[in-house]
Amino acid sequence: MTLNADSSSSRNSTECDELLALIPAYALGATTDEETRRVEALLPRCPDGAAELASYKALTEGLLEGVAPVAPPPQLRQRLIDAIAVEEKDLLRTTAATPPEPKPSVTPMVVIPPVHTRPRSTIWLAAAVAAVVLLVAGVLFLRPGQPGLPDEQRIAMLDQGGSGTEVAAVYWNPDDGTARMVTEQMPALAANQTYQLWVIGEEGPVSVGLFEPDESGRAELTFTPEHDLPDYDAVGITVEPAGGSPAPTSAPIVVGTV
Amino acid sequence: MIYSQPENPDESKQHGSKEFYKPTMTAQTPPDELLMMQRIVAREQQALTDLYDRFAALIYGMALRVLQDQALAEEATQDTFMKVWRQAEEWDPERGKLVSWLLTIARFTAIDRLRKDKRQSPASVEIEEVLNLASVEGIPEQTGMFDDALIRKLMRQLPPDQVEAIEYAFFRGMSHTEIATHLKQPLGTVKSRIRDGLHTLRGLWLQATE
Repeated sequence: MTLNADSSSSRNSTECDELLALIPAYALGATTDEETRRVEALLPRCPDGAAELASYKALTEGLLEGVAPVAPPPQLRQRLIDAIAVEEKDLLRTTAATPPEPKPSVTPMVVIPPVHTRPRSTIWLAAAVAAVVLLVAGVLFLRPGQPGLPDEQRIAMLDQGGSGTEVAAVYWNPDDGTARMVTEQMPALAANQTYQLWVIGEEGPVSVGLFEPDESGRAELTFTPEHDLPDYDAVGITVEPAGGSPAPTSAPIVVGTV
Repeated sequence: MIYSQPENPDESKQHGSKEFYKPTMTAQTPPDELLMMQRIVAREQQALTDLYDRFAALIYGMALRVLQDQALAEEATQDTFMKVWRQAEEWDPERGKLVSWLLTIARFTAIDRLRKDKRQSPASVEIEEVLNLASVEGIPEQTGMFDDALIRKLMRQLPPDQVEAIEYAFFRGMSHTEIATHLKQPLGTVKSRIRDGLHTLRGLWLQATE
């Protein structure tokens, strides 16, 4: 028994030595496929392995950030802007023209899940905090006096992926707590589709109604959000099956930041 | 979880809006960058432009380091930002800073391009060029967990052959075997240089930051 235990212990020690020797290269990404598999097989068996790997991964992060910045050619910026605009226009055309297929699971428009159910919630929670901080600092502000009814404040401009092209506007009336979405240029959809408007806050996207444009592309939707509209982070429009959906089933075609 | 709810519920109303969360530990990614990413997920194109203005020099610097070619580095930089635009939801702030995520994408994008460009064999690593790392004037310094100037200073203390091996592995994406073949050195020699070089670098860094 003792001999077997000693053998086992000795083999484990050898394997851990082998692991510790490979870890620096593994952290760097320099191991062969076979060595990578070996490291990943040995890691659970060696108590010091995880800590050792973590320290070398932190070092490689330092190598990443130690790269000297170099200003790119100025024309690259506009090239990127143009490429994004083209991609978003293509996405809009594809989304409007294609009937949505039934999907086994919902693809959220914006991932803002309840904090206690999703470990990946922190980006949205942290971003919501940042939004609150900026709101308090006065960076985000209501803009009274924009076109709309006299008591209404314009909260968001809905444009196609943020390109600056306005296709809809949302007006908020703080006196009676109602809001109004107005659009003049939404294309008609297939008979089995509808536009759905969402407000997005801490609880994720919440539907506030469906709408269909008239022959001229105009539509208007009045809704009463559960909270004051400035308390939300964004509003968005998706294309859904006729009758609407409990949650967005596709990427938004129009989004505005509140 | 980074943030917690306020102990006094009334405190949440003091700004006239929703609950005001207080950080319980220092977030590694600055709040304005978190917000930038949220706006990108919401498909706000201006947010990606803002991200570009903030990080383009670092991304391009990484691409240039890997590819050693300005035209290829431009393409890799554009590819990197396009990937960020398409996959912004995949970033998890709990797993690391935004700048690390961006630089990792840039590094792998550039390495992929290097591998696809069959005309290029790995350019020789110029050690002095690697170690001569003054920041370009006018480019805002990126603050991070690591003092980037310190890392560069510490690298100078390594033997050149270890710096070379680390450079090939990390910035050219080469494995032990590929480096050994390229340098016409025994495999064991290359493995030792990488292992010893990183081990020494780690020790130097720990000493310098105590």
